[in-house]
Amino acid sequence: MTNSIEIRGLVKEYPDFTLGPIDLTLPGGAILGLIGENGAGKTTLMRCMLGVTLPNAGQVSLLGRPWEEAKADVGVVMDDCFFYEQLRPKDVDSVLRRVYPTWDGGLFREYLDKFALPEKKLIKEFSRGMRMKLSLASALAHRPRLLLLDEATAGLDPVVRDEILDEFLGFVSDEDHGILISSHITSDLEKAADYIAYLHHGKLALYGEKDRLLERYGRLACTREDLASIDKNDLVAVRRSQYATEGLVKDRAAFASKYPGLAVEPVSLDEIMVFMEKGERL
Amino acid sequence: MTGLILKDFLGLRNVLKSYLIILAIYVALTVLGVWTPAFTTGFFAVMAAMLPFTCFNVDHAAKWEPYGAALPVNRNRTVCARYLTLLIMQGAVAVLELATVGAFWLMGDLEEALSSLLAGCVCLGMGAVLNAIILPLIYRFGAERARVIFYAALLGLIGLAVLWLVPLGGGEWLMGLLAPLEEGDVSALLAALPFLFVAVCFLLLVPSYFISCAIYREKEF
Repeated sequence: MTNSIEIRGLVKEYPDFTLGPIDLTLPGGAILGLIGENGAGKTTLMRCMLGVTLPNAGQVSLLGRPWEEAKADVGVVMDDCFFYEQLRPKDVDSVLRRVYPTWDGGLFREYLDKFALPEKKLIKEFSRGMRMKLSLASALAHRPRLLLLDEATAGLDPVVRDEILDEFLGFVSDEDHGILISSHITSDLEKAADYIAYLHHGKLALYGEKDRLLERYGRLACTREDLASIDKNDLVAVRRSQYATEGLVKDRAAFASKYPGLAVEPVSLDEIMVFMEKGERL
Repeated sequence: MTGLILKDFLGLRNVLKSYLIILAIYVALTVLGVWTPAFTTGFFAVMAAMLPFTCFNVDHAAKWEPYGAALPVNRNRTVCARYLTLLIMQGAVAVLELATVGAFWLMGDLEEALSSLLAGCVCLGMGAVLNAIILPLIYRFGAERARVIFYAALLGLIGLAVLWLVPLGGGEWLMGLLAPLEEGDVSALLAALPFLFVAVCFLLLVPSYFISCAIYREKEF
């Protein structure tokens, strides 16, 4: 089975920010959720993968080929609808059928029907949800094998998000397909993603199978005295407030057997992000 | 590439519709004798030459650039599509100008036909020069900054012409270039000059295209 994404040693340098080095692999038939605070480098990473931004170092391989050769098999949704507002979905069909060799106009119209998008209505009259659905229909209508989605579900109501997530799950039921989705809505990723990559200040702070990460990491609530007795190597970060002290535990099972008197609870992706971003690193 | 050209035309649909309305008004005023045909055809050549700014502004407003760069279209072809869009626009203006010239010629008004032809050639050529200069500037600096740079450069050239051509006898120098020619050669040269001028102006688009490609290849979004 070909890997959907392979990134090796990718670096992108700006005067005030450096992304990487990033090493990342996404096997076929899986969804990778890319999380991170604003400005962590998620969009830059996705743009580097498509050659929209040119990396300073590293290699990107999509679907087993260099990115330049794989672009026709990649569906892209960016954080906003990128079509002219004065166009209609039927115009988008006319344009993209001349761009993508594998464009399927029938499939595009099927998606328009499925997402209840009127073919002849101007895009400027579409709501944000409708625009994102149009972007998604456009990304899917050339039968891609890989979807790169940058904040594709941002600003959408839970019902629309659920519909779109179902679409993603259907897409990766084919082992030849893969999805990379960056999102701030970690609950969506907890529902759909198989792998999680957490970018923090341009570096890959966490990467692995979602279930294993959520199983391994834990949240410790304890007193300051308890905290003082814990080996710092067992914690990733701590948060102290006037009323509580919390720690992000690296290995929940090992921690529970080493400190049987302390309760460690499962942790969400949101909580991991908050610990990493705001916590005191040990 | 044809998809990108179609995209440009669809994006300019509203602008082009307004141009057609203005065209109808100008043609009506020309027929009524308010303006000369030379003025009307020249005006449209200038309007067509202003379209690069509109094309790039429409792309920018829709945030098309990063998406466009992610499409499976070679970057040189993306640039080529933009040049072809503008050439098609100028071609349409040329057809309009030829139709005007032809109309006057068929009516037997050779003087007006010649006047329209000269005005059309000058405006068409200047439009091509404008595109040849402005397109690499837009690719490098973006439409708004390129517009400022271009107008500043244009003002500089006009200033130079006023300072040099008029008071220091630049006009005489230019005429002096023709002095070694026989009178018949000068007439032939003057007759061919409008067409030579247009051809040279359009040839400038070739190096302009390669410069734009070199800039756009390194462009990041």
